[in-house]
Amino acid sequence: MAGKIQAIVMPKLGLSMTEGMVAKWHVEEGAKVAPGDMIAEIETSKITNELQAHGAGVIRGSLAEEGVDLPVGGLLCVLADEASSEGEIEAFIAAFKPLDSDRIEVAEAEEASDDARRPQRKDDKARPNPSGQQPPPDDSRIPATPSARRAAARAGINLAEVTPTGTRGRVTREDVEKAAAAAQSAAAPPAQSAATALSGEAYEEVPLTSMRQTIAKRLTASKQAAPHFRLVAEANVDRMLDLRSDLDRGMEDGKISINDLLVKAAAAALMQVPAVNIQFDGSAMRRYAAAHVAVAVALEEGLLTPVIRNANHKSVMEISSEIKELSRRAKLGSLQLDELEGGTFTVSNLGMFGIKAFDAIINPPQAAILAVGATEQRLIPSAGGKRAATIITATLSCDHRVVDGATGARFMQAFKALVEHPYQLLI
Amino acid sequence: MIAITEGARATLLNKEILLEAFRRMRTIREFEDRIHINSAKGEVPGFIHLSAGQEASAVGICMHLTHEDHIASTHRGHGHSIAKGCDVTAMMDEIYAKRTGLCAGKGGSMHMADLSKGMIGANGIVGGGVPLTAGAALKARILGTDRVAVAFFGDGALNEGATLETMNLAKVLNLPMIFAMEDNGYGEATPSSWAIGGEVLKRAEGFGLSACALDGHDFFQMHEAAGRIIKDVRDGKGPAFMHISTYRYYGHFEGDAATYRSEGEAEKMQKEKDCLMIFRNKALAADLATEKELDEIEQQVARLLDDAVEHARQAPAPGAADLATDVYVSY
Amino acid sequence: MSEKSFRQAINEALREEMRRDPDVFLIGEDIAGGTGGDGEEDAWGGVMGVTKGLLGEFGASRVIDTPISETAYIGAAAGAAVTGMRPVAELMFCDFAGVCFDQIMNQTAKLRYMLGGQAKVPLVIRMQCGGGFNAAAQHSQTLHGLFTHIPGLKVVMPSNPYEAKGLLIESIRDDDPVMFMEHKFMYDDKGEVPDESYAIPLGEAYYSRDGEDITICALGRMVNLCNQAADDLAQENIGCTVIDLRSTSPLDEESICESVEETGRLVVVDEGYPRCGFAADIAALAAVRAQPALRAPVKLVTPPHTTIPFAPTLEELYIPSVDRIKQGIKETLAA
Repeated sequence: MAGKIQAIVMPKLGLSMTEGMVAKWHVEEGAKVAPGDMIAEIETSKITNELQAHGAGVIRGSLAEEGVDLPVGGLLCVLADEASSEGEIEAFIAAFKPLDSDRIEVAEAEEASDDARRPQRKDDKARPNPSGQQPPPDDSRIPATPSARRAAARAGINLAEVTPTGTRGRVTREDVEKAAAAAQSAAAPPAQSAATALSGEAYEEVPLTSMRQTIAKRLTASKQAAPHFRLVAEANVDRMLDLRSDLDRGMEDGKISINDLLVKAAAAALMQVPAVNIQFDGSAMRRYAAAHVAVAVALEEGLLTPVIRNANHKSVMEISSEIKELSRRAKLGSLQLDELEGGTFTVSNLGMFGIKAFDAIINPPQAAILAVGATEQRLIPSAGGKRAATIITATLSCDHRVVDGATGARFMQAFKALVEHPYQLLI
Repeated sequence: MIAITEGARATLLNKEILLEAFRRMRTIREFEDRIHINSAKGEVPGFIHLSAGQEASAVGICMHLTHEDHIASTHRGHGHSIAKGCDVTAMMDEIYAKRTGLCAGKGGSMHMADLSKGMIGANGIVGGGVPLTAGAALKARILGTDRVAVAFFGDGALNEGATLETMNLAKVLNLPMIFAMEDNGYGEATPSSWAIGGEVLKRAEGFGLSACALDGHDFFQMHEAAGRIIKDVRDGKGPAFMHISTYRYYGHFEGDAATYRSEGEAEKMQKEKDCLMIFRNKALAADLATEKELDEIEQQVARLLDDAVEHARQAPAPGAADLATDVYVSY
Repeated sequence: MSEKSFRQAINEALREEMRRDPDVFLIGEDIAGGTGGDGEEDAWGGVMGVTKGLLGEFGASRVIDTPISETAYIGAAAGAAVTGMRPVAELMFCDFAGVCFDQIMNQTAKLRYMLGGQAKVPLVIRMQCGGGFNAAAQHSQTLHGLFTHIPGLKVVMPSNPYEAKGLLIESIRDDDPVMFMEHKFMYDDKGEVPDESYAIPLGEAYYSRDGEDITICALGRMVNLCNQAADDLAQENIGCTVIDLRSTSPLDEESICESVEETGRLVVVDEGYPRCGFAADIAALAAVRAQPALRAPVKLVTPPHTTIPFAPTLEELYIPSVDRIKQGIKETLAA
């Protein structure tokens, strides 16, 4: 009697995840596993998650190569009884077909959001094709025009590797042609590496993680495409510090930080100046009714910007606990992709490092980012002399294509007013 | 609580509600008067229809509604919007066609709306908002909530098929809906007494609606009757109809010399039937408020409108980037 | 996967979406039928029987029969959508848009824009379109051109049961108003339809046939006639790409242009009126965006600019036929 054989496939870690790679295997071929055992670490361009065994058995078949991108649903290895013969395993692998990506549910429960009830847009290209054209099975869910799909099949190009420029993020035929041309020229021997090492100097070659590559790509694109301009404002945070200590008094666990209050103030200011609460993809601008504020979280290996959704509707306490939770999970690497997307604005705070002020690069498709520095004590003129005041410096970077100077300035004006009269944030 | 007796009708109003009602009525009047003046100066683009004179109807009804209850209005919709709680500064910005307007400068006077306040919208089509209001009432019926929806419309819309169809639909589906017909005497330039065949109340009763006639110049009567009617509708007793007599001081639109009226008609109405004057006289006579309290509200409202007009003048106009947004959610 | 009719595919889409989302409800004339009478409940399930059986599962509060008052109930559906529900209204015949066009054109389509983006209007208006039943001038029109003309509306027309289910599910989930047009000649057409739920994106065309000599654009029932023409011409070694556009708004301009760039020849087949219509729109698109690739004038195969006739002899002349399509293709190839 044949043993029980199961495929272990690339999990879908977020609604928008289409591919991922095994960053590290924690088992070897032949290892016995029990449900819940960690098998591997799965890495996408944004996050790393653990892959656990759902059943008991022996890891069979060859393991997918570390560091190689695989589509969601792609085969990683096989879990089988010891009773299964080598022949059966081989036959199973030969017959394995990746599941349609829309049939794969997201690995963990989604956070409730506006979009949660709307499943991922399903691609219908997996239907029988009357003309008999067979697109490569693993890229059937990548949005592409029919002509592009056909061209890719002919050129042997995986649509997942083509940068889409078409409407609704689709790959066009031109995109495929460009990718085909690039693939040809890449086959030629590479020119000398741009970073030439000094002979004899000791150095360590550090491969870029997928997160690092993404940061490099996105921020370069932002800096090149978006004409940044910056607006600097100072705000007196004395009242905010008072408010914080008042709020902390009532808190059982965890304290409110100035940053929590600043995020709330940014959300409230976005409601007053909605022209900054936008996303811009280079052609279309979307103005959002709610402020989805991304918060920069520094990690050893890079930077993540989880999003506080509907921050304008949330209380300071809610924002505070959400930031704590998101930061904790960011450090554990257990954020869902969807928690990192959809921001309309970012707040980045380097005050804890004693930085007075800094410029931040806009996180596209957002159009503005607020960089907050450390608090400093200053003497300011006051009736009958001088008094001490606590001041922060905040710098707003704006994408001038969609946010004008006066618009950004109005935002900063509103932000400063809220910071200096923070009790409004409790209403 | 203070009781005011007027003939057989008694209404209970606490002072806070009374002063809030006065503030809203006064805000509407001040809002419309400013636009009338500034429109003549050429500051205000587009078509403007003002509701000065009709304040007691809008406020008398909306004082009984929450933001969860919906209303839809007419081309003469500023008063209903203010009565329902829309932000006056954002409204003025909208009328001045500014990006900071309630509808981002894309709707203007005839499409004033704030869904977060339960205001589905003014409407440029006579009778156009009445079926939409039925939809809000339908939602309440399907979900089994105690929300109600009020369709404000004028005497002109009573002759529109959309209104008549909706009166029937509301009865057949037993929708929690109120038809608030504000009869200001004229549909554009034609007297309603000429344009409406038969009797208004009989028409409504013919559809099986519970119907009554109300004096829209008297806030106290409006407020008391609307309270009763809205409560009945909320309790599931079926749709209702109000025939509200009222009057607009200005023409059909800004620029209308209103020569279809008899000479001195508007002035006489303003002198004898002005709803703010009646409010003040009754409230003072019954010791519900002091002169000082009402004067103070008037001054506060005047300052609010000063600021709103100034804000609207300074606010930025929408630009090329706004032209093609908000057509679809995604396209 | 099993064989289902166009009618069943739509019924299944409605049922699945109503199960999935309690905000989805149906409203229309006789979509149950017999409401308030002494006879059978759910007597009709819509004039074409499409909604039959849904009353039993979801009850009268979500399958709502109305009086014959299109303005009132289409308007009420729009009002419910703008206040947070997700209604599917059945307008029976697209011709009846004539009696409620204010609610479609001036209210539903414009609410989001007029309100400066505050509003979402997730309303689907389902309706029959098309000729072939000798139903004469007021029950046979195909008015997608009229609806497509109006910014704010989306316009969808499926070409077979598989498409009908996937496109209707997507239309219901879409946050914009969708005019969903079902060709009345196709309700009994059969095809493979998966049992599970799936959605087909709007604005993404599909190559129903793939060939290198000529591009043919169509939607709805006309796709099937074009496919027949293409199959016939394949015998003569003529390769046709038949593009099923699925929706006219949004329109997949990219896929049309890409194909025209490949073949250099374009025929547009449509059952709608020709003036300011869908076929003319596609011809204009080719002229504006793909002119250098065109090796022959664009050919339009449409009815004449005439009211749809009653007499079977006349109606047959009116609606584009497989023969007229083949003739159009051959003329374009010879030009």
